[in-house]
Amino acid sequence: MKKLLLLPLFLVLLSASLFAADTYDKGNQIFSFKIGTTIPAFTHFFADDTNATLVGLGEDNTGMKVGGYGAISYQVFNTPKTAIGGEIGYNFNFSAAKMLFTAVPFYAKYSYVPVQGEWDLPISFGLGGAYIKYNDASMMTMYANMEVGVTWFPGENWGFGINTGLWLIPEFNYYEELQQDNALVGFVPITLSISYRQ
Amino acid sequence: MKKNHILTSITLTLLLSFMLLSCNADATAGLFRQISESKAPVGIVYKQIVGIDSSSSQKALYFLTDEGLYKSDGTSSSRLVANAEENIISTAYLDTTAAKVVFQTNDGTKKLYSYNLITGALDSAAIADFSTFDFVKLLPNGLVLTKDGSDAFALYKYTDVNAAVVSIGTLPGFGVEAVLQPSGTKHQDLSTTPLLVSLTDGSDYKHYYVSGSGSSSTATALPAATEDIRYASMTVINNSGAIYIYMLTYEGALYGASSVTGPFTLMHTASTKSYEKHAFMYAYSDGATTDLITKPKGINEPLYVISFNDNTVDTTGVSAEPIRDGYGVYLDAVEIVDSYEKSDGTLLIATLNNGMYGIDIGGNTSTNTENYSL
Repeated sequence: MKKLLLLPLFLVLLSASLFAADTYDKGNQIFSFKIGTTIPAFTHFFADDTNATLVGLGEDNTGMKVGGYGAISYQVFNTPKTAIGGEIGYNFNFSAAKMLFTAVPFYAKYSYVPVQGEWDLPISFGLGGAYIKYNDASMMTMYANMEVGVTWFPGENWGFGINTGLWLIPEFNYYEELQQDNALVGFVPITLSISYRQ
Repeated sequence: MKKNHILTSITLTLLLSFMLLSCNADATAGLFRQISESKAPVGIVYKQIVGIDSSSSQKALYFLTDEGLYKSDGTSSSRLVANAEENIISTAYLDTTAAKVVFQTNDGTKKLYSYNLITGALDSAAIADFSTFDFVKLLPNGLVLTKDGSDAFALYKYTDVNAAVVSIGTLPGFGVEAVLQPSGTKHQDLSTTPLLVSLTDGSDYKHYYVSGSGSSSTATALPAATEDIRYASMTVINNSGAIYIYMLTYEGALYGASSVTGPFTLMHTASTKSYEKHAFMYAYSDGATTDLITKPKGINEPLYVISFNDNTVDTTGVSAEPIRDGYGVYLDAVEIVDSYEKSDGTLLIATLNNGMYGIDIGGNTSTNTENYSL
């Protein structure tokens, strides 16, 4: 019940922030460190007629377990409400067979920060590449994501946030015999972040 | 201009890296396919299916795991001999006549030990002493491959260290590359299940086809044309005295011959498949077509079946396809370590991490892991 009461209060604060003066200006920068977990959401095989989309964790689904993710990012504001930058991270998930899947995403990032001040609410879009590896397979592939987050800045510079969203990692194989395994995989990251802005 | 040159170099390097890395060149299956088909380990690491003892009313299966020698009645199992450091059982043979499981360990003594099925205890003394030889390897059919100080290779029955069953030959500088026996029937006597001994000096191979019964056993060298080929698996079909030998290379080439002396005809090449030593290859015929059921290298490779007309060793009518369902439904994400033919077309399949399955090729069915019957 208390949580339900907090929700309108939070929305009022956000509304107030939306119409408040911008905190950032062109040239301001944010450095962030992230750590958290990634939840395998789905694996879609383009060539499969049946069971083309596997949903969920573990054996007979995506085959992956909940994993971990750590990253660093840098963004610079090009307008008071938008920032551009990049992020590089390391992700791992164990498969049902207890073997390690790793991904190293590196991507350009565009963020829109409609709410800013003591509370930042960035909405980010990322596009880039990822090096992925599992067992005897490894490849460089594309990577895209969308993230939303809330960051609380108790002081002027340091902030603490929580973020989630959706990652999309496609696998397009060059060799014909592997093309039946072309796939699109989705992960839901949940991360905590520490940011420094100036 | 110089700055542009540097930027161009960086861009080209990145593009080249992308091209090289994006090929997924060494993969046996798509990356996410491998993950989605991964199976949880069952906690049993099989090494060998030693045999089934049908002499009593309650059949008993004997098998080796990384923890030792086990016995199972099909529903529950118990450990008979525990592995210990420097005393790990590498191979075992079920001698139902002597009511013993004979085994070799890595203790370095070149002696064979035994577990008495009647007393239910380890025999205190070694059952055979091959310590005069430089190399000793117990085979699942009870024969022992040896190499002595003068580089003479021979096969002995484990019960008689003094008289060789068959002498293979003296080959200075050669060592044992592999002993290839047909999948499912490795435990059977040489008179019904021949074997191939591959020797190597590091560059060339000499293959010896060993067959026959008792003192009439023979070791015949394969033709010189095979000396640059490294075989991963071998099977033999014996049809009313006529033999058909099929051999699979590491690179996925299948050779066939109707005589030990050849010629060995290249029947099929699976360019995208590769095989490891002792790869699973089982021959099954429905009366008209022979299926060679193989398991390529890679835990996410499904069974690969090469089919051709019965009793043929040429390229006519050869076809091949992967099998992901029916009897192969659970075997596409496992590593097969051994197999045991219960009857024609019905086998137990032991895997490295995913337990044991019972498959019925004729009925095109498979049990789930550890739900096999004896």
